[in-house]
Amino acid sequence: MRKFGFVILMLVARIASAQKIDLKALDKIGINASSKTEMNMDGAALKSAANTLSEKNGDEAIAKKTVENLTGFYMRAYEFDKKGSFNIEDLKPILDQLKEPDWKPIIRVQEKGELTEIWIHSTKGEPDGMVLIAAEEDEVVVMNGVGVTNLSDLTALGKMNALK
Amino acid sequence: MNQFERDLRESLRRREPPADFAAKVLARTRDTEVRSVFSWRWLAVAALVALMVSGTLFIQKQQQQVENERSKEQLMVALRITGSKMKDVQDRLNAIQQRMVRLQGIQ
Repeated sequence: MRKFGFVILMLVARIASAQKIDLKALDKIGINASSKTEMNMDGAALKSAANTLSEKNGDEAIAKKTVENLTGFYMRAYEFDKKGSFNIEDLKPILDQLKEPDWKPIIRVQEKGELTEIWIHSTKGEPDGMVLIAAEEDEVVVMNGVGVTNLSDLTALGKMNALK
Repeated sequence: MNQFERDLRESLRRREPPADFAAKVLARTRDTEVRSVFSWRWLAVAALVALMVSGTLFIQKQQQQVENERSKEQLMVALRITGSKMKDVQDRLNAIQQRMVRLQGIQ
C-alpha cells in the first residue's frame, strides 16, 4: 500500500512538472557569453515579485497581468561578442525534451543560422505551458513559462518599452 | 498642674527607641534599594530584548523589500526580453507571409 502511494505521488509530481523543462544544458553555452540573464522563478517567487508590480505603471501593469496566472518562469538569455561562439546544435538537449503529444510546435523557423521555435504544452487538451527558443549567431534565448494558457498574454509583452 | 497638663507631659515625654531600632531601619532601607535595583535591571533587559527583536524584524523587512525589488527588476528584464523575442517572431512571420504573397503574385 505504501509503495502504491509512493508511485502515485511520483506520478503526480511528474505530471505537475511536465511543463517545466531542464535548462541545465544551457549552462555550458552561458560560460562564453558576454551578457547573460538567468531566471528561475517558481509560483511563490512569481507571486511575491508580482505583488511589487504597480498596476498604474504601464510596463509593470502589462507584466503583472502576464505573470498573474503563471506558476513558473525560467529563462536563459545569452549574448556573445563574437558570432559563432554558439552553435544551434548545442540546443539539442533542450529540443529533445519537447516531445509530442504533450508538447506541440506552434512555430518552427530555421534559416541562415537562426532558429525560432515556440512549443506549447497541453494537459488533457488544455494549454498549460510554453517554451520559446530564439537563437541567432550571437544570441540565444530560451524561455519556459509554466502556466501559460494563451500566447496573446506573451505577445502583449512586446508592447513593453525596450530594455532599459 | 491639672490632669490635662499631666497627660500632655506624659504623652510628650522622651522615649528611648529599642536597642536594634537603627539596625532594623538600615536593613529595611537596604532591602528596598536591592529590590528597586533588581526591577530596574529587568526592565532594562526587557527593553533591550524588545529593541533587539524590533531591530531584527526591521532589518529582515528591509532585506525582504530589497530582495523583492531585485526579483521585480529581474522579472521585468526577463519579460522585456520575452516581449522583444515575441515581437521578433511576429515580425519574422509577417516577413515570411509577405514573401509568400509576393511569390504567389509572381506565379
